[in-house]
Amino acid sequence: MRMEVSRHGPLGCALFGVLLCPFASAAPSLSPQIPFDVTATQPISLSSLQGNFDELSWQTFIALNWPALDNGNPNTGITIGKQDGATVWESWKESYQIFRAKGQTPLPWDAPATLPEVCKQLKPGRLLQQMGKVPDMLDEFIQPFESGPLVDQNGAYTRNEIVVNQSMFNGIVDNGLYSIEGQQKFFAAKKTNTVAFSCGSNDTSQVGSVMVKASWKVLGANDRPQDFHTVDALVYTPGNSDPSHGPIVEESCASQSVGLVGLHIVHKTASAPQWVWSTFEHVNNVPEQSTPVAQRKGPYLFYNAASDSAINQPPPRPWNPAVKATPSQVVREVPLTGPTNTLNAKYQALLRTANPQSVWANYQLISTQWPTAAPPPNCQISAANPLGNPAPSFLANATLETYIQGTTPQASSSCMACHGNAATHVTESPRTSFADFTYLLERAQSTSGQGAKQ
Amino acid sequence: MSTDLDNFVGLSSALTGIPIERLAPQLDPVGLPPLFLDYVTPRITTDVLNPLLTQYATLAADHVPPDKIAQQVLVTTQPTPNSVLAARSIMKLWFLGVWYQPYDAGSYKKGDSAVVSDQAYIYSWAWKVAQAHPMGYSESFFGYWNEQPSSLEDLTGVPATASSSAQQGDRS
Amino acid sequence: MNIEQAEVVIVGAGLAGSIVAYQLAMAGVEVLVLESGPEIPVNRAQYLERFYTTTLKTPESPYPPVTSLDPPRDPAGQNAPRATIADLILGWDDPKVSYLVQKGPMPFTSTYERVGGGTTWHWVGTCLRMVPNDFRLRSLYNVGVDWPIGYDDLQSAYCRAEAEIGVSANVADQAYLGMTFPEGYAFPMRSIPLSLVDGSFVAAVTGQTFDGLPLVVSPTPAGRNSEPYAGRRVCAGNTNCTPICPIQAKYDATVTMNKALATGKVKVLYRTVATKLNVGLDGTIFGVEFKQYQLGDGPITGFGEALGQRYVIAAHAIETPKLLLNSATPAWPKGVANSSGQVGRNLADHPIYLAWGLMPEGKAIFPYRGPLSTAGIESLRDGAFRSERAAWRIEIGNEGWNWPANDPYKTVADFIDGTNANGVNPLKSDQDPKPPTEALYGTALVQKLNDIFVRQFRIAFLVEQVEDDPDNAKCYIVPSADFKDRLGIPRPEIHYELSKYTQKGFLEAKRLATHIIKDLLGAVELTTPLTPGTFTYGNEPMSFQGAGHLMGTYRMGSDPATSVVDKDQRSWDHKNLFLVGDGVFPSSGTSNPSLTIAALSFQAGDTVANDLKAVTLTVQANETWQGTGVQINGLVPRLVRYVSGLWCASPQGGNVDGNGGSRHIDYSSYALPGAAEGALIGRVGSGGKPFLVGDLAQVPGNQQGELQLCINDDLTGQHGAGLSDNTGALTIRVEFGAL
Repeated sequence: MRMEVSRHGPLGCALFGVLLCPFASAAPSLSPQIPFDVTATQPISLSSLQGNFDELSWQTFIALNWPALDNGNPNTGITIGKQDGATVWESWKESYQIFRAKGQTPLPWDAPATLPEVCKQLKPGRLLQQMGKVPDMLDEFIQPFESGPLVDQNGAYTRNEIVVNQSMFNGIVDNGLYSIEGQQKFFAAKKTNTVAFSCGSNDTSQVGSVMVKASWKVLGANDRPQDFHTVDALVYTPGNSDPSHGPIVEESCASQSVGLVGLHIVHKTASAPQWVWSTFEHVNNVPEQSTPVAQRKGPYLFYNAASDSAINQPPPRPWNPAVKATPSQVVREVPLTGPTNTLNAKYQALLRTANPQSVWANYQLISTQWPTAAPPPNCQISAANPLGNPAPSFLANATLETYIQGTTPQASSSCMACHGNAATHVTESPRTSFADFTYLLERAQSTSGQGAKQ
Repeated sequence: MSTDLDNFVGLSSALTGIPIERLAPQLDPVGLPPLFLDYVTPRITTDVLNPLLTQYATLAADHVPPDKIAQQVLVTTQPTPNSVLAARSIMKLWFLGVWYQPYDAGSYKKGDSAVVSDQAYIYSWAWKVAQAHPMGYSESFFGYWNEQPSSLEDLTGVPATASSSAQQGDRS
Repeated sequence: MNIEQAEVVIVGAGLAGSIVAYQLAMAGVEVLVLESGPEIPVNRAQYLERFYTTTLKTPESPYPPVTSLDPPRDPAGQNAPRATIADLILGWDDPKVSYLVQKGPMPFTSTYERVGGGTTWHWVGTCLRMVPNDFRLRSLYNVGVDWPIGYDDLQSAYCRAEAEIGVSANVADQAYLGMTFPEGYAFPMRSIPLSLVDGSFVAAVTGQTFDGLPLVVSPTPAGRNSEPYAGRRVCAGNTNCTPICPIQAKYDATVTMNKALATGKVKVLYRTVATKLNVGLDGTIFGVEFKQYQLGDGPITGFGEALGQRYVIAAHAIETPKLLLNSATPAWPKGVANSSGQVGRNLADHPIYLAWGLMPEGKAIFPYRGPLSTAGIESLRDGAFRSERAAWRIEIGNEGWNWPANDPYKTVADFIDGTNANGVNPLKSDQDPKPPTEALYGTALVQKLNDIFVRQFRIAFLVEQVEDDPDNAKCYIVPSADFKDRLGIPRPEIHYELSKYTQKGFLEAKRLATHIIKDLLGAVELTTPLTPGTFTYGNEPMSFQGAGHLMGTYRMGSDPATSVVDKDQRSWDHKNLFLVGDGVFPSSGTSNPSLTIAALSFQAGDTVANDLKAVTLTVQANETWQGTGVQINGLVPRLVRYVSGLWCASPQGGNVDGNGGSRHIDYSSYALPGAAEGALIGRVGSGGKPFLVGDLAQVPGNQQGELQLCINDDLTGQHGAGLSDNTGALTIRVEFGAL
């Protein structure tokens, strides 16, 4: 990829794909179509574009969570929320199915997921949502850079998973990026080869690469399932024989009902070669730090007014998901903006038109991070301005970046700043190191069985 | 009719050489210009600031080129005795993110210095002028230091001189 | 009064303390760590925010206690103060502002941190090994002191340290001056790419020599990720290793301490300052007294004593001797562990000769990019000259004139204000008339600044500091009789100067610096002496900077009369006391000490673990595979060592030890066909592949199970009497350690 220089355009409007949306002031509709890119409304300003990207986030959220057919396509015969059920994104390929032991080639897109032995013995129970597909396997519980697990009010760790859409899957598989040796071969094959996932565009009516990270909490006796998008999941804990990674445990798998508490949606588009970063949370997750303590009306999923635990502190090591832990006490450090709250109310009302009890009306957009700098042509990154001046400067999901919330550059969560540090396993030069804003490529293992470093 | 903020940005641009649209892009998620104006106003006082802004506005309305405006302000026709000191502190603020109190003003003491904010440091211009980045803040990718940097013009909007062009980084 | 107990008490949660804690925890030992400073934070936001917003961006700037020039802080009002650059600026010899009570004649200019994770928060990350001759200064060059160990004794420990830290380097670049590596060894990650600044040095010095030695630019091995490693990010070239890496691409000891905590066997008490070691009548340590606080300048909130079976002091080279000497009692009037009188003696830094210059017009090298340093000139770290003058290594800096001249700040001010503090406005030249000092603005200002910045460079000579008389050191620390911190603990009083031997090294450094800068690079040199470390040698005014290295104050040796610890870092005076860190270095060589600290800490961890958990057992000659009860987890290296005894596998073989006899028998019924008859053989688990132990072997890695041992004989008796006619037994010890 040539690193095109960004000629800093005079005004952002000239280079944003401005579609004067004829229905800009009309109410949005529930649609299973994933937007190709942002639709910018005039006059352009920081706040108007933020609103445009936030609409993009909601439309994407709705389309991704649309009820799915067996083949993963949205079921256009029903409207989202009439009944809770398997979603379009839940049919996408999980990261553990792509970055396999010994760098094995992933199975084709339509192939069912291969489960660890210990999960295979479990009957999914009343699992009808995922006919023909296996349930979600949740195997991650430590937040980025080992900052710690998030513990719910029942003392259980939340669990995370990452999936990618077929376009991104193809980008990984076709270029052999799923193994260390494959990555080496890719970069050696041509001096200009660079990781560049597909880009969505209004011009071509193509959806670009999309990656999704979801956080789930195990539903306990006190949780009301009807408040959540719920799934019968296989909660998998890998075995560990290294005391310095935590307690020595055998691998285990439990069939549990889980509720969605957080959702990252990341979409690469022509307006955003640094990707568009949308994040949603369950409305009951946490209070805002700016809300006076006495006014924090609960009940919350990750905050208890009666607790005097330290705020936003991970539990002490060792971390053992099998052991009941002290619930985390979490607040949101950066509040939602007024316009975001207004937009959330609008979309929640819209979702309720399909079903007043729609589980999806229990979710809210936190914000959308997008690059304000004029994007270079061909969806590339400018060497002179790699992150493209993201707005807002910081963004965190209280369930996924719990312990790195804040506004300190580089230390506090900013989707693009952090993901800009993602690398491949072939760090010979900036061209080969660049992983196009995903850490997934670091999960590639070696075909020799040595695994990733340490 | 331009605002104080517009004139402050224009004046800053003329003094520092960094184009207006770099100091104050139309889409600006960081928003240093109003922050700097608020910070600077009590510290140099309106007695010094307003004549500076007025001088700038007048010269700009006459389409005087920025370098010549700066020359007027700093060399030829200082509007007030403290104007030059104030202007120089404003220049250093943009280049370094640090405010150097130029003279006593109210409770502010000459010689005091402070980093205005973490953003002021991270977006300070001296580092881009060096074709680099502030120490402690890099957006670039592994190994970039083994390759030529982006050109001065790409990073600041200011072209290098003829003699230093010979040494400019070439990214193509 | 709190009583805390553990099997091992460690004072200090820095590099050495964290490694020992981790190792002991992996060996199943319960550990208590006392750390004088605050907790490892959840994230580095507060530290980083402090760095971004301070005008005084010194190495200590992110870390508590916060330093400032205005108002200055009085160390008497702080509970866990430490040496800072702010102290040096405000008054290195004024105890009202300087934590170190400095008596001179020269200032000690290095600093350190007292926080969870220790000084590795702000080290540069350089991971050079010492060269073999560094360990033999006295024998080879008749200066300094020999180490009681050599490079080969540290080989496996260096490899373990490099794995734990995550060092990026290529063996081919590092095998100079006698340094060797195991067959087939590869560093954990590949070498970090050189910078453009490095490139200009490569072009200038390749093929050149100095005093008959070649000038070679080598990539610097670094504890900095060049690939995704251990869950940490790759380096993004923030050019800020010191004082803080924003993204933890650079290793710091919190990594190892977090691994130690994950085992569940380690407890850390923060804001807990060890004040005194108590010695029992039998000469062993029986407790560490401590005081606790909450606020750095607040009242004492607790006090107590920590009891253990073994004690490890890992508080770095000023605080450790301070603690030992502050523990003096009538029974131990010279302090704890100090019958040699050498505790606190031989305080050494790597005093740095800093030189800087400006490349000629048209020769941009683009500093302020990449890690702070990616290469150096290491080829002069050793040579015959060491009998006359101190050796040094040269660190090539990537950060322009930030260190010597506070750039970009000073040059920006010079060209805005029309001053010439930095010597580039104008640059000195022979022109007549001299070019004017300019006050610039607008486009011309940007272009001028750019022109200057892109041509800046600096180099640092890290000079080995050697006492002219190492048994009567001129540089030492003793507790101050007059000045205390807020907890009432006497502060360190420092006596410091550079010996003639060291100053001669500076002279040569100065000579080479000018030669490289002017003759080889064709650049203009701007080096001038900087306060407070100024001195004159002969007619040459010079100055030294601190490297942030403190070493030598409780040196190891083979003679208890002249050393504080033995080669295992065990106190000669108190058998249950270990002193770790670079205070044990009898000589410092020229390499940044951290990698050697880490390697020695791995060895100390083995020794302490063996004290408590080594298993001694008897292996019978007339039995087949015998279990040892020792579970191998494949993660920590284990040794099997013959201790004593003889056994006999056959009348022809006779009585032998673990090495067995001279007959090698290849029958498949033997424990290890082809090995010596009667040799000691081991395997991990009943299905494990047998391996030869002999008298000493490391258990092969990557296997889990119980260690079993056996004599190499016909186990099934299909070729004769088999085991039934065997006699004797061997005493064997299963230890922690690597070969």
